[in-house]
Amino acid sequence: MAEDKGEGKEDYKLEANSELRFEVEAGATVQLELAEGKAEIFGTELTTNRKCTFLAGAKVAVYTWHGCHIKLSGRTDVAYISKDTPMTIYVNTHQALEQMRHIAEEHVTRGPRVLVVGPTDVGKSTLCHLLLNYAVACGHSPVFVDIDVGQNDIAIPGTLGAMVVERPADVEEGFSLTAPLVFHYGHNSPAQNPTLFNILVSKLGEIINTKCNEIKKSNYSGVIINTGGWVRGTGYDAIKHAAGAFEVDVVIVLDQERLYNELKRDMPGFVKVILLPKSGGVVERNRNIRTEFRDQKVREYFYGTRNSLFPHTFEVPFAEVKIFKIGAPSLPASCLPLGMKTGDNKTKVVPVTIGPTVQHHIMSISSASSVDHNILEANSLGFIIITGIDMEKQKFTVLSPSPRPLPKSILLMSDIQFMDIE
Amino acid sequence: MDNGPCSGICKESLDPPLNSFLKSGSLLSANELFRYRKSRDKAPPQKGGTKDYAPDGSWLEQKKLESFHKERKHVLSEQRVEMMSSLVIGEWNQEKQLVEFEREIGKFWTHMGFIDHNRKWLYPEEALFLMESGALEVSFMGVPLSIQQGYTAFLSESISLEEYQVYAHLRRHGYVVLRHQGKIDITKYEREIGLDQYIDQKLRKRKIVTKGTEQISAIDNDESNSVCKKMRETYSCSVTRADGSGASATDIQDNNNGAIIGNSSLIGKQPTDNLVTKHKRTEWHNEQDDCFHFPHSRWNFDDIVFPDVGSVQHCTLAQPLKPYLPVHVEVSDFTFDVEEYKSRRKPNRNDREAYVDPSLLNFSLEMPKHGPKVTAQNWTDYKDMLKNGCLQEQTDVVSPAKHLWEEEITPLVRPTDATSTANLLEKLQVIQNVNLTKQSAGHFDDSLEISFDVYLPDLHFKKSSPGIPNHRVCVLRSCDGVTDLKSLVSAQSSLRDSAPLNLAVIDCGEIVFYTFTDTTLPVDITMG
Repeated sequence: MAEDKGEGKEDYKLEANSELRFEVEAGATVQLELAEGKAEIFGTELTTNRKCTFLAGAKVAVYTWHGCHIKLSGRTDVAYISKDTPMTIYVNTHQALEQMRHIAEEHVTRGPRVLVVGPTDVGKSTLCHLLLNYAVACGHSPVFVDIDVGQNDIAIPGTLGAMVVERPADVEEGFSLTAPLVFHYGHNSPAQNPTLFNILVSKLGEIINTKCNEIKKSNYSGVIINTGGWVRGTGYDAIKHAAGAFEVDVVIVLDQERLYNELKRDMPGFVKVILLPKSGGVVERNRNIRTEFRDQKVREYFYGTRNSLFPHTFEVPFAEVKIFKIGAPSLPASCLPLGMKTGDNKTKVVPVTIGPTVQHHIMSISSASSVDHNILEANSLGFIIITGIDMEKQKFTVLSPSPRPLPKSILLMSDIQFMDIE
Repeated sequence: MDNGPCSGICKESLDPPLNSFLKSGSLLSANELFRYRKSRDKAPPQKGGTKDYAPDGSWLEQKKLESFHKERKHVLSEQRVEMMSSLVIGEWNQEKQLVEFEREIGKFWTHMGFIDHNRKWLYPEEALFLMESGALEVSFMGVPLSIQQGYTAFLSESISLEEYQVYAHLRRHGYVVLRHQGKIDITKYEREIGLDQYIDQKLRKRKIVTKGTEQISAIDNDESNSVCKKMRETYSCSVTRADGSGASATDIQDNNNGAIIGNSSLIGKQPTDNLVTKHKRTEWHNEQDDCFHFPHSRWNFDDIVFPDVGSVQHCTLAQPLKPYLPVHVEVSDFTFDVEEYKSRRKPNRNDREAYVDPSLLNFSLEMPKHGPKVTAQNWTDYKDMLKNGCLQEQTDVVSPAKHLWEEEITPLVRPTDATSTANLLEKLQVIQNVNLTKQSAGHFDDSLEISFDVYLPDLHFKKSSPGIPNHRVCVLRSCDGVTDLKSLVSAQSSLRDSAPLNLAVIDCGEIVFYTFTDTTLPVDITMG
């Protein structure tokens, strides 16, 4: 039935309520075809006789409710069938949410808002995808908010984003990004600038509220918020803050009882906190894999998932742009002038002199028109990378998704670097 | 008057003519005009002087009173001479209780009268005022009315004598006085950006306001109006009187203090107030809230069953209901064994510290912090409560003042409330402040009847869009008693603009204006 190191073509016959899990080997691709029956990948239904390609490093789980026949071709690291999945529980969760949506629509009140929390590598993003896909399949268009700055699904790492999901995720491409709202954060982890993180979360919360008030469908469909894996100490406070900012109704905790108990204790009584099991197919990723994943995400932003996009390279004179960084380096309190607190400079907008330091950093183009506007809370229009600097000519070369000129002149520098090697 | 040709029309103020050489309606010769002018050049008559509180029956007093009466009679009987070319001829329309005229002379048309169906009309009080000033001659059924007749005919239910007195008083001081127009629908902002001129003229046509009746928007709309019938009745009484004696001998009510001095004051006198021409830049006032907020839902989590692995041993999943699931999903397995799941899980690095409830430990460093007891039902309430500091955490800290709360009568403040003086004072406030002007909901049931809208004279004043009046006047008699605050406030608030409401109290011809304004007493918190 199953072979571990599969090469060439493999046939898998799955029974009802079972899942086929496989990982693509590095440097290879795998093609999947649904020959017969019905199956889904994280909520997106597969069409029969259509081949889907998965790239190196992809970890895929194909679940079937009724039983199906799958053909795989390509080199897989592991491929096995499992009957032990929490899909029933996840579907039940979806059903409860759907009931809430119906109630909201009936009474003309606010739709359900869900916050998914848990430590790293428990399948939070996957669960979010699942819930979103099921919601779309039932005819809603929920709002997806991703405040996981390390592994962001909406934009590149180092940002917080929100978007309305109207179609199920494509098996290969993921969610179609129709006008996402992205905020620049600039670091891989919320721990590096918690003040800014909380500010951006509050701002996102406000915007979501406005959006829900204006568009009825979004309101009734609700909001699903994905968080990062930082759940201890300040991270826990950040979770509480996010719950308050988005005014969530349900908090789903994946796989950690301690966090579940703490949240049950600390959340006000009208918020439902539930603990869900993680799927057995969730793979833990070590740090290297994570870094690789981030890089890949940035590459996908510029080049597309299958190298389908062609970014532009052009030169920009220094005078046309102003580069800023959020957060001054933190000094011990004794070094600071009298009266100034260390908290203040975490959200300070510091101008950056253009020099070799800015090379290879991701820059986000802020929608603020001038320095006087609140740069902290202005959303990003897009991202560019400064690939080279010419100090003599006072110009730098940028890699940009759209042609010149840059839409606005204020750039915010992110900590995340990307080397454009092809 | 002096420069014109020697033609003047003589009008009589009191019907039996005392000056025999002047007959009413006749033209004067130059000689007669000269003599007339000369007799008028005397000093204005005296007003009376200080009041004695009791008659003392002396001869001197008698003499004084006699001379006073005589002078008054003489003044009242004075005939007026006007230039024919400067006299507007009007016609009194009894049904409509309005005066119609064709050609205006002079500047009064800029702030008096109105046009309806290409006919020019004046309100009775305006007509009477102009008559007294000598700018208008009103004829009824072909016969020009005397001032006395004017008073009887024009002042009826729609405008009472007191209201006319207030009107004349204000007009003599130079104000522009219009009948009360009701609430102004144009906001301040619209006025500022000049939008008011483009708003439909028909909507804002000066409605013909009749006292105590519905507003009639067009004059010709009076077929079914019961008011007109009433007017006809009052007319019929006065007609008999007028007919009964060509020179009606009805006693004139004491309308002094204005009729005599009034001639020169119509044109030219400027008020002493400063003309306010600039408005301060005001913010756009949102009349209504445009933003629709979806209210929070109240979820009944007993009905909406969420699977929760954390709380139960065996998780029996709810039977999936068809309408809530996407089409391709068909669930057949309904149970989930939590124990088995927990035992199977690899101990994660995160689980190394198992969670132990600190309350079970004997010596726990952590205070068993139970979540704050909240009675909030949704996030908005919860956040409000957080802000107000209402969340009282259950602390086991023993306070030295704990005994105070054990009895029936507890203190108003807790030691934890002493965050600032303002906070403490707020908690101590047992008697609630009531701000009547801000709280009234604008009931219009029993409020005052406002008579006039008063405007400062302005070159740019337009009758068609007068704007927000500088004052509003409500006329009361001194015998009426003081109005209660509620009706006052509801009248003021229903108008919803910043024009102050003045009460004109009239007592035998003496007019005094009162107004109520809001003031806030200073609250001084200097400590903390």
